[in-house]
Amino acid sequence: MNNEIDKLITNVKSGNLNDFALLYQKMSKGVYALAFSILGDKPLAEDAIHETFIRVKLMANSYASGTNGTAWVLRITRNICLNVLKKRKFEVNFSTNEQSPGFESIDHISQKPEYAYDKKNEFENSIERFVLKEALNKLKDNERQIVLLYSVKGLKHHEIADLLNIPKATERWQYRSAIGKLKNLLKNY
Amino acid sequence: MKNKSEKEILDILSNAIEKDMPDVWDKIKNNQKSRLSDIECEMPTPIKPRRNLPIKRISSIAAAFVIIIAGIYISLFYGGGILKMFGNKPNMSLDSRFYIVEANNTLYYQDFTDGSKLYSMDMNGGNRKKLCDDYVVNLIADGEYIYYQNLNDQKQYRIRTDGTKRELLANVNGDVVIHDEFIYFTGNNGIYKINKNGQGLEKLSDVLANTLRFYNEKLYFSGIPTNNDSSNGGIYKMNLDGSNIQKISDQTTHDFKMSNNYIFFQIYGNKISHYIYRINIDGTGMKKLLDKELTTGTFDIKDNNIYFISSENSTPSLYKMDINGANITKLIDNFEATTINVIGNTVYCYHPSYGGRLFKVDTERKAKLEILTNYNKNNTDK
Repeated sequence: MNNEIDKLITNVKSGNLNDFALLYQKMSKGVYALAFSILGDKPLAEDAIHETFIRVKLMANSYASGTNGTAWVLRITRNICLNVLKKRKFEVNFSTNEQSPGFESIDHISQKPEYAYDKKNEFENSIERFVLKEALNKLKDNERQIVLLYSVKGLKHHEIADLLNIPKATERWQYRSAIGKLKNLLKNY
Repeated sequence: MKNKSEKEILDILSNAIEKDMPDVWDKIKNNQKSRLSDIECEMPTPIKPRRNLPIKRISSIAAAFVIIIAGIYISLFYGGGILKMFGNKPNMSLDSRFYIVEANNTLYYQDFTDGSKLYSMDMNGGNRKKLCDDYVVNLIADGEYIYYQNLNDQKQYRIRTDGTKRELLANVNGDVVIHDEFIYFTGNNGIYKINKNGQGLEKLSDVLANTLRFYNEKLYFSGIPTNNDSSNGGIYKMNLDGSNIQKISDQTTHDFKMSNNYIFFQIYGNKISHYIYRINIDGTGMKKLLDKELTTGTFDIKDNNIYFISSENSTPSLYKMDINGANITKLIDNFEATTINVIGNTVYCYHPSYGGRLFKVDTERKAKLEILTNYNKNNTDK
C-alpha cells in the first residue's frame, strides 16, 4: 500500500494527473476516517478531504519520493483538521475578548471536540451510523483516530503511530483499549 | 450475548465509514486552485487498469501542470499569499510533546518554529543555532554528543554538540536509553540492545514495553498488555544483559519517572487514572501522592520536587510539591503545558497552542517568560 501511494504521489509530482485521481480513490477513505475522527462532523470532514487533496496536488513538489506517502497525506489532513479546530477556538475567543488571546489550550480542543459531537443527529438513522456515533462518544481521541484509521485497512499500526507521533507500543495499547471498549459497546448489537 | 471479534468490530467501523463517506472528487476537480477542470483528468473506476497515454500527451500534461503549479506558487509567494492560502505553516508542530536537554550549560531542543530540527540555545533562550536538518525526537545528551531519533527515516543518530560529525547509528525506534557503549531501546516486539556503532543487535526481553529507564545499573520498563497477553502490563526491572527480569508491579502505566529510589507514574490499565502514584523501586509501598488529577498528564521531577499541571475550577496552573506529596505550591496561575522539563533551577514548559510556545518558568519569582514561539507567525495568518 505504502509503496503504491509513494509511487502515485511521485507521479503526481511529475504531473501525472490520472495518478492524482487514483491517489484520491486509494486515500480518500483513510483521509475521511481521520478527518471525521478528529472533527466529529461530516460536513467539516468533507471540507477536510477537499482541502487535503488540493494541498496534496499543490504541495506534491515538496514530497520526498521514497518516503511514507500515506503518512505524508494523512499528516496534511491532520494539520488541516487541527487548524479547523484552532480557528474555531480563535473565533470564540475573539468574539468574547478583543484583546490578545493569551495562553489558550488548543490541545484541549483537539482532544475533546464535544461541541462538534452535538451536531451529529444525522448519524442516528442506521445501525452503522449509530455505531459510529457511539464510537466517537465513548472512545478517547487517540483511540478513536487509531481504530478508525486501522479499520479502513489502509494503515498498519506502525504507520498510525508515526502519523500521530506516538510510540508504537502506545499506539498498540490505545488500539487495544479502543477495541476492548467497542466490544463492550457492541455486545447487544 | 456473544462478544464481537476484533475483525467484526473493524468491519462494522469500516463499513460505516464507507457508507458515510462523501465523494468530493468533482469538487476537487472543479476547484480553481486545483486547476484540474482545465485538463482532462478522470476518476478511474475501481481496479481499472491505468490508461496507457502516449508519451507525448503525458509530457504535455506534465509540462502544463508544472507551469500552472509554478505560476500559482510564484504569484502567491510574491504576492505574500502563500501562507494565507495554506492557513498555517503546513509543517508546523502541533505535537503535544517537546524535547529539550541540557549539556555544558547549553540547551539542545527540537525547534518547533523550524520543522522540529535540532537547535541549540543558551540557558536564557538566546544564541539560537541550528545543528542539523533532521526532524528530531527523543533527545539524549551524553558527553560531547546529542543522541536523537530522526523521524524522517526512523533511525538513531548522534551529532556533536557543536553540530559537527553527524553519524547514523542504528535502525532504532521506541524509547531509548544510552549507557556506556550501548543503546537500549523498546522495539515492536521486545527490548533490544545494540552497540552505538550499530553492530551487535541483541534481544534482551520479549516484553512489549513503552518506557525504558536506566537506574542504579538496572533497566526499568513499563510492559504493555497485548492482545495475546493481557498480563504483560506492569512495571519490570532487569539487568543490563537482560537477565533476571522481574515484574515489580502489576500497575499498568506507559510512562514513569524515577528519583530517590522511587518510581512515579499514572495508571493506564483498565481504569485510567491521571493521579500521581509512587512505589519503591522494589515495587512495594504504593502511595497516591495527590488528590487532584494531572490536567495534561505530564510531570517532571527534580531535586525532591515534582512539577505538574493541575486544575481548580477548570483553570489549569503549574504546581510543585515534594516527592512525598506534601508542600504543594502554585507556581504559575492560569497556565498550562503539555510537556514539562526541569533543567537546573528552571522549569521549561511547552504548549502546542498557536503552533508551539516554549516558556521558561522562574520558580523563585513565580514568573514565566516566553522564549520561543510560533504565536506571532500564526496570529498574523488569522
